[in-house]
Amino acid sequence: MTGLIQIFRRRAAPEDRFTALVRPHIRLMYRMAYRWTQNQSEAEDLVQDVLARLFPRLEELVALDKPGPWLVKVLYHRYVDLYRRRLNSPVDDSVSWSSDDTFFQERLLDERNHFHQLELKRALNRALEELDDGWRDVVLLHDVEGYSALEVAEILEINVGTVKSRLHRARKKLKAALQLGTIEGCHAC
Amino acid sequence: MNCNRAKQELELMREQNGGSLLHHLRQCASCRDYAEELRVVRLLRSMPAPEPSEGFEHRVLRSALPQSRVEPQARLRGWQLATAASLLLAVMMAVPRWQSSQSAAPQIVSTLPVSVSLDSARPLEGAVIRVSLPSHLALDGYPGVQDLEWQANLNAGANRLTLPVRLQGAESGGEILIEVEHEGARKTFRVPVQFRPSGGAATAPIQKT
Ligand SMILES: [Zn+2]
Repeated sequence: MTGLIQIFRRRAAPEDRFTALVRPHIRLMYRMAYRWTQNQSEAEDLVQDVLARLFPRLEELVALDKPGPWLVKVLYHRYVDLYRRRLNSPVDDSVSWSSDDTFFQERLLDERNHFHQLELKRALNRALEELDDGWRDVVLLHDVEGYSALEVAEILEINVGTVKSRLHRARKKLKAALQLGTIEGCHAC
Repeated sequence: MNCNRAKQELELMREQNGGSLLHHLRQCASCRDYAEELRVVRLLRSMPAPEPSEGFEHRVLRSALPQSRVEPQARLRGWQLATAASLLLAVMMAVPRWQSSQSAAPQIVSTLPVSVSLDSARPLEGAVIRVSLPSHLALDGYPGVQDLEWQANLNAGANRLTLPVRLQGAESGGEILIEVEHEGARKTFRVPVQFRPSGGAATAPIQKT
């Protein structure tokens, strides 16, 4: 009997295996896509675009220990392709990262109680604009979404030392920006 | 209190820090620095994000699966979604070089090339592109024409489209609507345009409907 069940399981439709593997990670992919695009509908499109190309890679997916970081890596590649590609092109038509300020604006109206915290977060998100893409990538993955330094290194295909040094320098810059921001904020009061 | 102890206390994230810790922080720049870093990391870690739209997971999963298993009616819908999703838009406003080098003398810029990059996962033959402009904007060579429509074959990958936008009124900005349609699937993009009296590249944020 158990033998039969096992055979049955092994023969589960690839569509079902795909869904079972991918579904738990869709939200995380969306969040990461949002961090990069700073736009809800673009984030949704990006995830959909990535998943639509993934089904033929089912066997690759099945063989993975942790599909999460792998999926984010695929997502990252697609994001770079669509938004930052053409580094070698003579025409600069990449899209620069800019903070989703509309979203903060709406939240600020909604959450008057946490106004101060949210203002700080908005200032911080804006400060991310000033970072180099490579530094911001590390901050978004490690500090904002909580991937480990090792996972970040794997996703961005850089070594762990680079992840740590970028993180260190990026935080230093953000700290300085936040201190400036706080002072400006006080002038307004 | 020594630095190790101070750092441990800081990591506890108390609502209120004790007097001896505060005393130490007043004197020790390195621990103050550490406290600031912790604050930044905590703010980053709780950075808000909007929820995806309703039914998002279901929708993306359905469009990710091969169509053979989906019933005919849903198949068409899935295909349309996949096509719409295969179009991503990147917008960048290119400001001519002579403008940015002249920072001192402010001048009125009347024409601005707005570059739009349409990214498609696969070639789209005979796609219809529609551009709608508000009344105070026009395209160079098309004065007074607010709606333009033409057919184009989009390649897989990036397709660059440059619109010579001309200002014909007092307002300094506006929004251009670009719609791409291919075999029933449609995607609309809003491109905000901002004219500036002097140099400085303005990047247009991207908004979609
Ligand atoms: Zn100390």
